[in-house]
Amino acid sequence: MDSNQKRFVEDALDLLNELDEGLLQLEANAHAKAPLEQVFRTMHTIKGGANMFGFDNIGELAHYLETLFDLVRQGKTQVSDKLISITLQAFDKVRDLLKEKTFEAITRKDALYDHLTAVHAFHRTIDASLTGADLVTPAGNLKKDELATFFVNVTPLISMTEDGNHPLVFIVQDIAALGTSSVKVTKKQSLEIAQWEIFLSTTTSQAELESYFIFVEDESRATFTRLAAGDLFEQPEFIQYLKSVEDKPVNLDELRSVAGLHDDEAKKKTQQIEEEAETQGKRKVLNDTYIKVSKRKIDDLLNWISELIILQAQFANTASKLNVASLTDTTEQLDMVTRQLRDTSLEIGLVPIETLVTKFKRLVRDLSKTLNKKVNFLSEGAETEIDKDVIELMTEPMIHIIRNAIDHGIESPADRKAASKAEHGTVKLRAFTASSYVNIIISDDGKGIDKERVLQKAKEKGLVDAEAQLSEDEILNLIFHPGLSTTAQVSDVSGRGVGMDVVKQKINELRGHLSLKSLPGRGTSIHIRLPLSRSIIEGLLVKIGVSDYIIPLAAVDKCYEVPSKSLTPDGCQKLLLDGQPVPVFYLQEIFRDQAAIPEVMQVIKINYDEHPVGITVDNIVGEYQTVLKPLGDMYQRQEEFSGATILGNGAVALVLDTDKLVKQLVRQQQASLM
Amino acid sequence: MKLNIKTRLVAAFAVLILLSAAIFYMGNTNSASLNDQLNTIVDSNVKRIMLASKNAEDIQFITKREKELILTGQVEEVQEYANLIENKNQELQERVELLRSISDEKGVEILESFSAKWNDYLKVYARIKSLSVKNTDSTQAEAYTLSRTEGREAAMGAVASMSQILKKNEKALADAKLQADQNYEKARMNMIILLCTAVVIACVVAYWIIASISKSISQAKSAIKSISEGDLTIEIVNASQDEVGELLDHLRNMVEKLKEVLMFVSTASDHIFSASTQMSATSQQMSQGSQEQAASAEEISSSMEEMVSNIQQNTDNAQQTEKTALKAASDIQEGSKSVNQTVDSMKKIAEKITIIGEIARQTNLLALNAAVEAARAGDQGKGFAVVAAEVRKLAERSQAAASEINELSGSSVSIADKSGKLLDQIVPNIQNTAKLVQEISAASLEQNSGAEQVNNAIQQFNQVIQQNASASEEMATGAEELSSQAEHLREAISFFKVGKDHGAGKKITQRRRPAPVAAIKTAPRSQGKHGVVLDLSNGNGSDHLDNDYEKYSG
Amino acid sequence: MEQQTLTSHSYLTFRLGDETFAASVNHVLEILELSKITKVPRAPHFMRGVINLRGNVLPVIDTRIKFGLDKADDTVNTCILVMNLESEKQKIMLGALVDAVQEVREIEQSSIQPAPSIGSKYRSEFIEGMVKVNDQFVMILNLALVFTTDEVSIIQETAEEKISIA
Repeated sequence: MDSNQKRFVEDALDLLNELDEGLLQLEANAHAKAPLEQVFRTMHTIKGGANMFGFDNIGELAHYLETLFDLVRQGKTQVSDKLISITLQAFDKVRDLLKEKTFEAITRKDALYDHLTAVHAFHRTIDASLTGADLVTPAGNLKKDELATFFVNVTPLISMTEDGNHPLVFIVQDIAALGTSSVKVTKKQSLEIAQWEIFLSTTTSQAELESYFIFVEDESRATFTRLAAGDLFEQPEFIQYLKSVEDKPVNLDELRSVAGLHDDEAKKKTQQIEEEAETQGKRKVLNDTYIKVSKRKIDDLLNWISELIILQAQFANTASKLNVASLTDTTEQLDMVTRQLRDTSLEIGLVPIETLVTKFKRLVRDLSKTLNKKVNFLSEGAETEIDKDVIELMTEPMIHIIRNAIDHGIESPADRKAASKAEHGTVKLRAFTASSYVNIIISDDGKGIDKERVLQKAKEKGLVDAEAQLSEDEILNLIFHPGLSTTAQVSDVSGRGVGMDVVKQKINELRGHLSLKSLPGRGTSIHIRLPLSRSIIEGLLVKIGVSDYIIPLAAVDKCYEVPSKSLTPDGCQKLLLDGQPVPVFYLQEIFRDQAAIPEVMQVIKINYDEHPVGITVDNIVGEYQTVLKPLGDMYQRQEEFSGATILGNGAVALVLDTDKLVKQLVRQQQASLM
Repeated sequence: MKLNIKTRLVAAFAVLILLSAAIFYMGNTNSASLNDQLNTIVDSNVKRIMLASKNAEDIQFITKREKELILTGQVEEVQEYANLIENKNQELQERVELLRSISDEKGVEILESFSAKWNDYLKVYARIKSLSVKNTDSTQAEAYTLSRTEGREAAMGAVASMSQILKKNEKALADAKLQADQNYEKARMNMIILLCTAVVIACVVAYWIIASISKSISQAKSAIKSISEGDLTIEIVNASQDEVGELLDHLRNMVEKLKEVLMFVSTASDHIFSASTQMSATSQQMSQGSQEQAASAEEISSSMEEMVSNIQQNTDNAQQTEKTALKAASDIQEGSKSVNQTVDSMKKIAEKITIIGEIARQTNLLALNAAVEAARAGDQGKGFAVVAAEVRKLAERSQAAASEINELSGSSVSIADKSGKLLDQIVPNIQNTAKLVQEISAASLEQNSGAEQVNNAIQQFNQVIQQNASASEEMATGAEELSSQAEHLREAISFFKVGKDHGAGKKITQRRRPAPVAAIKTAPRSQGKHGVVLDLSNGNGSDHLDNDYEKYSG
Repeated sequence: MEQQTLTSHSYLTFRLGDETFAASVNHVLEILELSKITKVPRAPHFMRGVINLRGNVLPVIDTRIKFGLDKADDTVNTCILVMNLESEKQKIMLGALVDAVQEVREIEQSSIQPAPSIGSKYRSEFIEGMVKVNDQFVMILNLALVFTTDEVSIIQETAEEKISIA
């Protein structure tokens, strides 16, 4: 695949999400105009791109589906569940295809055959239902537009010249070639193109014209004005007008009057289209412009910025030694700028969780259909941004959570009625950012978790001692235990028993946190806290012996100073911290870094599974925000270190995963006690 | 009888005074008895006479007035007269009382009779008076008769008493005059006898006294006269024991003493003479000695100067040596510094070479990396691999060369280091030497200054010797003067004659010893208590002073 | 010429103690000078630690220990070979600490002798072959296997010991 093809795949995947979103909206409200337009436009874009870059099979499928929706647009048929389902399934397949690694695999001729035939079949049923409608091929339908004259104003949003090889230049040329045309180029002093004003008399429909600009819509704004039916170039007044406006921008009102557009309907239509086109353009302008950049480049950028930060820290270090006032100022500014740069570039890597939300809508729809449950999916804070990697990694776990919510949580409509609840259950996703964490809360209003059953199951499976007395929280936490599923029979939706533990593991891998609340009959709520970025870590820089370590701030509860005398470094001991006996682990001993033990040792209280645990370090240097680097597969077994980071002086500091560390230590201790 | 002049005079004058006193006593006794008689006359007899006469007068007055009283007839006048009478009576009474006090028994008797007769009169007068006051012719006549009868009689009796007193006293007066004449005659006789006795005694005593004094005094006078003439040989004999005798004794003693003193002065001046002569000789000698001393001092001084110049030379040499040593030390230090610098430079070179070695190593590594890269590139990297290999070889060679240079420079550094250290070791030795030499130099300098001081002292010493020489010259002169003065003294003393053995005018030639008597340490002299050490000779026994002696003796 | 390139491969030779080994340059990314290595506590002994490789964290293996040699002090010649290894199950990048790198040389496949299965110090599966260079045997290593094996040492053990390690 060349880079353009790769770019198309990326874009197409995004577009597919948009498409899903639109389709789901359309399903909810079959008569809504906006989603329909969105779906149509998205399909068209996919079609155009696919054809342009040689994904013929996708282009073909998109074309036929687009035709179907065009019929809907034209009011010749209605949005139906069947239509939506066919479309969704077809694009699901496309999505799967796009995830293939090679171009050949994606463009296999037969890959979409089933869906193509299904679409054709469906199309035929619609055609049959249409009486007196011309039964030309769907593609021909579009081409049947009568001759009309358009005024197209194209304004590039980025700097470009006529000599440049920007696609926009060629697009303009292409459009001009579609019929009788007159192109007026306005340039700025720097020879950059300010705008093109194109008068075009063509049989191509406006939609088709618009589609030409799909791939450059981030870089340009195009407004289309249908001036009149027929060819205005045949009108001498128009030619005269064109000559009169050769040196000045076109005034639309004037133009319209020249074009003799006094027909109300025509005017209204023009305006409407114009408005829509405008709003779309405007939205893009207001919402900033977007550039699609490969994730790798951003990663590279981040890496370089990390390097820069490290260098900057070294520089600051050296500068502070030199103690030159002007240099100090500069380094401070440099520090500020680099931090800003880092923050900004980190933000580059962040994307809204919208894509997830769309996926979930789809999931809820499919599941509720499969399970015959009525479920509404509500989302809040879909604009919340999070690292793209995190989104990718979180998709599966969250799908699992939602699955669980619908499968186990939401009751069947009958049950709900019996429980005097609304027939429709609700699954709600709420996302928001708090400090450097993204919080995602997934809640349902189902029956909640049956703790008795969970406990019983756990006892059956021997996960818990039969006589064990567990608190509610402990019982709830059991569902994260591997090999526990509460549904009686294994369905293909959930209940394979490898669900929640994987969820928890994934979240832990992302240095996130998960908490669960459940009220019987009221529902369950799962709260996920994820770091904003996978690679950014907020931690406490500590020293043990000669080595630096970083303890994630999220795990840190409180720091204490304890004289070394009161500590006897032999495994685990309890120490009174704030009047509470807390087990303490001596990292100096555990890490076998037997440097001279300082007189006053620092004890950091951390939370391990809601239990306070103390760990000792030699010195707490301070808060430290840095970029987390993986330790690599070679250190897979050193689970207690979630990674490493490069400090300002170029040294490597290991990042502690306190949960795993304590877990291991506890296990070790238990083993040694046995 | 051994009575001195004082006693004799006292006795004589006492006799004369006693006689005078006896004469006075006699005269005085006579006069006193005369006086007593006179007093008795005046005080009693004469006064009684006067009082009695007065009283008689008053009675006369009173009787007269009585008559006038009777006759007057006028009351006022009567009163007036009465008063007069009264007053007169008063006076009379008073006088009677006074008379009574100085009267003897007889006289008192008379006065009694007077008073009785007077009182009778006064009674008569009272009647007259009272009659007169009635102032009638009868009364007057009666009064008159009364006055003429009774009155007159009473009054006449009173007057008679008074005249009795008068007569008695006039007789007493005549007796007293007789008594006085007799007394006077007796007293004049006594007086004349006494006076004659006194004159005789005085004449005898005066003769005795004068005779005894005049003999002694004339003896004294003759002795003093001969002393004043210088003759002390006179014999003073004393016979009397009185004050003049004492005077003679003292005079004799004085002459004796004078004789002694003169003898002593004479011998002393002899001694002075001989001593001064000797002194003169000695001072001559001393002067000569001083001159010799001065010459010696001169000699020492010149030796000293020679020594000083030697020392100076020493010092100069030492300083020179020191300078040389220091120069050597600094040269060596310089050399050591140079060596050190060389070492430093070499070390730096070694460092640089190390860097070159490091660079070579890194180049090697780089070339290896390039080779790896080239190898991975396969055929396309072939050419580059060759280049990389070449680079690596070069790097290896430079690495080897660098390490060789390093080694060499290391050994050079160690050698240079060693020599530097040796030089460094030498430096303190030389510095020590220089220090020692410096000390020597300092000591020489000190010596020099010491010698200089010594020289100065000698110069001073020389000066003192010179002064001494001149002083002894002066002393010789003084001695000569002294001997001449002694001669004069002897001459003066020869005026006194003191008799045989005490001859003050002994010839000096007797004192001249037969020359030469070498180095007489003592001149034994019988009377010379204070021996004088003299050395009059320098061996020849004769000098110009001796010649002077000759002249004096001639 | 064409034939030759097909049959000869470039190898990087390096020294460990007295022995010389060869590693295919296809796996070697670069050679680094020794820099500060941060020890990772509780890791196997042969895992020397991690270094900062231009902002990335690179695990470093003490090849001497892995090869059963005594631990030696680092010298100026001590280098880290940055290697990119791909085995059937994983793809990893790591640094290998070697005493000294020597050269990149081409070794003709034909000159490679199979490793003797008996009498060799090392277990045969880790040695691809041996080649004689300048009268010295150079062992060509199967890098992927050597460094991705979980076993601590690649030294030939007695059967019993092997079991105990497994």
